[in-house]
Amino acid sequence: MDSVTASLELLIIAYPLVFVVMALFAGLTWGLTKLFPAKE
Amino acid sequence: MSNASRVFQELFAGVIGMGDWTVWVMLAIGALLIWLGVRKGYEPVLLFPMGVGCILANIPGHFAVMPTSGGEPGFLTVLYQMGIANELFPVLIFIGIGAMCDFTPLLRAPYMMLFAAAAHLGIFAATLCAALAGFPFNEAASIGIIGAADGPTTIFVAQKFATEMLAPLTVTAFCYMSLVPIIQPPVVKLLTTKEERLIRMPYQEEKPVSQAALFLFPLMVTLIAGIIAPISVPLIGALMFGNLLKVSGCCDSLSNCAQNELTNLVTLLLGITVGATMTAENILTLQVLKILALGAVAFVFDTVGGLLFAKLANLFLKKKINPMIGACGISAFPISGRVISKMALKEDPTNFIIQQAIGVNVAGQVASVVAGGLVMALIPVLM
Repeated sequence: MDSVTASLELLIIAYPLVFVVMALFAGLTWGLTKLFPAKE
Repeated sequence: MSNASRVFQELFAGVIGMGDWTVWVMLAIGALLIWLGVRKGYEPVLLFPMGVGCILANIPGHFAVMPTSGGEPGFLTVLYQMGIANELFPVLIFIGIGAMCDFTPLLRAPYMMLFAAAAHLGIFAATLCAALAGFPFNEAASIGIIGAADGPTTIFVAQKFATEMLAPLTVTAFCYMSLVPIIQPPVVKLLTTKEERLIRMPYQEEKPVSQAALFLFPLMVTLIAGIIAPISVPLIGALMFGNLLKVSGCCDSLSNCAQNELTNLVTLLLGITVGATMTAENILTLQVLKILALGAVAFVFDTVGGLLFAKLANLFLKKKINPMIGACGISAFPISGRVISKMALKEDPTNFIIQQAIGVNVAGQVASVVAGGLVMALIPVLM
């Protein structure tokens, strides 16, 4: 595979995947704060 | 060769070596790095040792690295083997960074993690540009990682996939990180209107976060990032170990050590060792100029990605967010957060968005390791 094609594939695969992973973290973090709320 | 001639060559080896013009150029580059660090304040804790390392490595005879006359390797080569070649120093630095990070603003508003994801567009834009400029894929992706805006990640990836480019990549990454106050404001101004820059965001200081959530967050991130991209475990694991030391509340001395003594010592050794890899054959090439240009592409596209995502989010949100915080998603922590909050204050001296800006900036630290891990996992597959 040539370098430009590989870079395009990296962009198409990895960039959305970063969103997915960070969205997963965001969802789980929200869950954590709901599961372990701070005492007022 | 006569005895007299040998004695002459031995005595004046250094003077004879100075006849090579590349030595003078490399010494000037070392001096420039020291000047940038000391006089201009650009990442002095790193550029200063790097400048010294560069000078030591280029003094004819090269006794500090690998004597040209043969014999035992110099102390800088020993440091390289024990700290860079096996990627130990970047990992140790991450323990210190983790101990410095406060994830509380992130736990108050987890949606900020999406801005951090968006602000890593530069990695992929720079990779593509590098490929178009003729770099093979492993080198292009290593150049792209400059867009993670994270020195240790850059070193980690470069050492794995483009060892010979380690020095220029490291210098470029750290230089552009220190140039964030110069790079980001014009891009932000270009892509936002004055009305958008004036948007206020509610201060959430009063919203408390439990100790349990603060403690479980790093464990959760490590586990999930490790499962998705196992190659990222050394970086994310070290980062989160440092953070666990801080939030555990029972290891204050270790946390303080990680934040101060460990970080300072490893930064010192990392700087001088990376500087010592700056030899004429590594640096005085057209490739290095290309890397410098591609580094700028990476940082500009990071900023563009974060900003445009925040503007896109505003199309769907009732309560608008200040799109400038999107630009903080690059991991140059805490420089980017400070730069953006200062920009907001410049537009309106009563508009304080530092809490949100730093929150997104901390998320950027996590996103950079996630993005780095994914890129490292995909390079061998796509090559």
